[in-house]
Amino acid sequence: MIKIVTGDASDIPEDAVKKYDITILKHPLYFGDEEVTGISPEEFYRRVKEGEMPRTALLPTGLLVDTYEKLDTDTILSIHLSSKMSGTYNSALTAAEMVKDKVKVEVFDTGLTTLGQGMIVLESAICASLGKDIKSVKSKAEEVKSRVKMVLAIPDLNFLHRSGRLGKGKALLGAMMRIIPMITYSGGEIVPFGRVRTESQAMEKIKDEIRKDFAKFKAERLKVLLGYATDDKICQELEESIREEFSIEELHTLQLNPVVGVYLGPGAWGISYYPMGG
Amino acid sequence: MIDKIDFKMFRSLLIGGYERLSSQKEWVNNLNVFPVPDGDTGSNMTLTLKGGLSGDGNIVENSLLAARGNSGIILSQFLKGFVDAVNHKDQIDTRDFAIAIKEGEKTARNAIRNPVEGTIITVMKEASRCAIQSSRREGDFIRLLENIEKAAKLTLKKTPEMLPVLKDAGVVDAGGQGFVYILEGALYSLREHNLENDIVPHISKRLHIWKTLASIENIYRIRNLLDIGNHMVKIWQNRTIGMDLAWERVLSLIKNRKIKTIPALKQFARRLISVWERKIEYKYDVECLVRGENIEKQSLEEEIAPLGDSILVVDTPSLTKVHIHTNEPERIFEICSRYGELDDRFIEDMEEQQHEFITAKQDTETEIHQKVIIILPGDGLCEIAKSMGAEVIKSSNPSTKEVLEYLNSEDFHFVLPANGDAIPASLQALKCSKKSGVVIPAKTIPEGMSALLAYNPELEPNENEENMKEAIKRVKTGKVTISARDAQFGEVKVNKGDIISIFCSEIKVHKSIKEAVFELARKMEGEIFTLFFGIDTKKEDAEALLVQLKKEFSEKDFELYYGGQPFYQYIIGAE
Repeated sequence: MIKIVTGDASDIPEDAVKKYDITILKHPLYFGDEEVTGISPEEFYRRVKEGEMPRTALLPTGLLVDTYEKLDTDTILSIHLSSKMSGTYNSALTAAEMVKDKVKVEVFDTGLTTLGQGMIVLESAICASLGKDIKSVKSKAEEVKSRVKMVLAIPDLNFLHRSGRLGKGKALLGAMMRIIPMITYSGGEIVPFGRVRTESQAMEKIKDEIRKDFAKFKAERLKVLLGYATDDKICQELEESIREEFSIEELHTLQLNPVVGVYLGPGAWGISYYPMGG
Repeated sequence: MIDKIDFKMFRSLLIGGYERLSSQKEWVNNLNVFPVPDGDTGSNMTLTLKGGLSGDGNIVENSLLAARGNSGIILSQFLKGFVDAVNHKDQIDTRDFAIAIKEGEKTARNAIRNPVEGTIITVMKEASRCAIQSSRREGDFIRLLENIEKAAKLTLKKTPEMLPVLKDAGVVDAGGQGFVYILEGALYSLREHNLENDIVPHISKRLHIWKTLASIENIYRIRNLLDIGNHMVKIWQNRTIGMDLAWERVLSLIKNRKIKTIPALKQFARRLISVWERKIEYKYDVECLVRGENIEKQSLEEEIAPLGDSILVVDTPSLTKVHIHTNEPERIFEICSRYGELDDRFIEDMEEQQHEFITAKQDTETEIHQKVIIILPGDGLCEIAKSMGAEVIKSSNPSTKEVLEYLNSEDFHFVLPANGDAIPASLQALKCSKKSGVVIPAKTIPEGMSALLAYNPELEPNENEENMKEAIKRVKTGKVTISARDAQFGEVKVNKGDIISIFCSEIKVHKSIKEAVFELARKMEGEIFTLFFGIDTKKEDAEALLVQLKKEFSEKDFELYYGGQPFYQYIIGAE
């Protein structure tokens, strides 16, 4: 059976990780020189709120090579965050080349991170668990990639800005009025999704977008991942109002992994959704 | 007056033509829909001319060697006919020049197995006809070239009427446009003028808009798309012969009531898209050189003719160049190799080229740039709006002329009056300027700010317009002021100097500013209240009031900013 490998820059529900046997590698994480890879979200966000500056590194090629070799399979789909955001995709390509005599590894660039990447991993893993061949699993990943949308509300954009990954999202910086900046991804990079003043406006805007995509893909159901850094209150409200309006195939709410939190900050929350059918 | 030119000068004319063509080659590429929509006409013609001008000075042979594609080879044949006609002279006059153009056209036409009118060959024909006529009276090269260029442009403009596929695709002929650019460049090198480059509206971008038009249901958005079309027509008309003639056509069809329904409009869009996306009959562009003496050109041509179309077999004394669109490249090479030694084989997958051409993601340069202009009466408000990316006109009620000064670019403008009284001037300015854009009818400062926040440079103008208009509806506005005169508002009598609150055209007199603000905070609905305090209000007073508000209305969220507006102590937005 095809095995799925990814990094913890993707956010995936824990029971799915177990059920579909997904291998999640941990990106190295540091506070200053102190390595804290695998730190619990609670402790991580507490230290961020106390003013400590975290940083991450890409998945080491060596770790990928070891992982690929040790998995009990002959074919692996290795799914990673946007190659425009991280060198991990390239590390994986190198590692795949190094192990090609022992195991076939296909590397997939999601062009996304966190919940969006998680959705692609989740759907690919479900497909692989049905015993499909690599071609089908990859084309599933492609199909999800072409439909999935991720929108993140990030009250403090400075974390992203400092990392140099804000891209066109810079247009959202510098407002002298209090706003909630919202971002999405296009072509593997961050682009502005909008600016709103209140959380309920943010939710409305997200629901508007879902309505548009629902119509665009003539979808029948939604698969949804909701994520928050420290406070799940908005996710609960959003879940309620999405369930009221749309037919939901599956919905999970997760706490965002620290390795993602490094860039989104403690106030962030967001959604990724995959319009199915049609 | 220039009445004679020598070879050196002819070469410099050609260099002028090359420079103009090469700077405009993307433009030409993006017109390329016939014979195959593969977007390389400009590049091919440029390569051909460049080849002709480099090397040992043998323009004819070098351009043929470098020639690529249909239009490239046709151009090389034009050069061949031209140069052969004047080769024996040290200097030529306008009459010789005209005859040479005629010869060039003839040679080019003869090289084509099935000449199609409405292409470069027609533009050449009319140019040469004009040259002959004009040279009878004009001894001056500048005047002659001016006439030729004019005639060529006129013919180019008519190409869609001659060749239906061009009309459906909404473009003039690419090769013809390339030829016009060469004439333009030659003329301008004589005049020693420089020409500005045109902005290229890439086909993929244009198709995207047509596809949107073909798929949307919302009549409001269709109207908006037509506005964008209008905008594009305006930009392109100023620069050169209309690029997307389809927009001009569809707009005039609507005006003349030839298109009366939305389905008819969509049908028009779908037809245009299908022309660009049409399946290519022969997939490969195949070219090669056949070297050897006394090659039987005629028989070679007959032999390959059943295998494809767009056939060109042309020669110089020592070599023959073959061009064909076919599905059997190997068979073509096999046939050619029986006539001589094969060289410079070239196969291009035009299907792939077409796909890349019409789906290419374009850089932002070709996007419609958008700009938000907001009219605000206070320095604090202006600063806030600037921080959110707007251009600001600081004024309570600007004149049309003041607004007009800000509409100075090719951008798509969103004008936010943020004041009911400034709407007419904004509308008038946009109309007078003939610039593209729309007035978002924000009647108050909070409405203007909300609309500005809703703007997203990533979206298309029509989406932004929709979002900004929606944003206006979400916000409510209250004001606190001191009456400047005695007045009667319905039941309410107001004396000069009275403190009043205004909300939803309801006016109330209050004992204090605080009372007025509290009244509004009670009456207005919303989660978040944004207070802009005016120029006559002290910062300490405003901050003290904020504390009191937060205490009194603990379930609501208040924010305070310095607005700096005159007349109004507080302007409050609730959403």
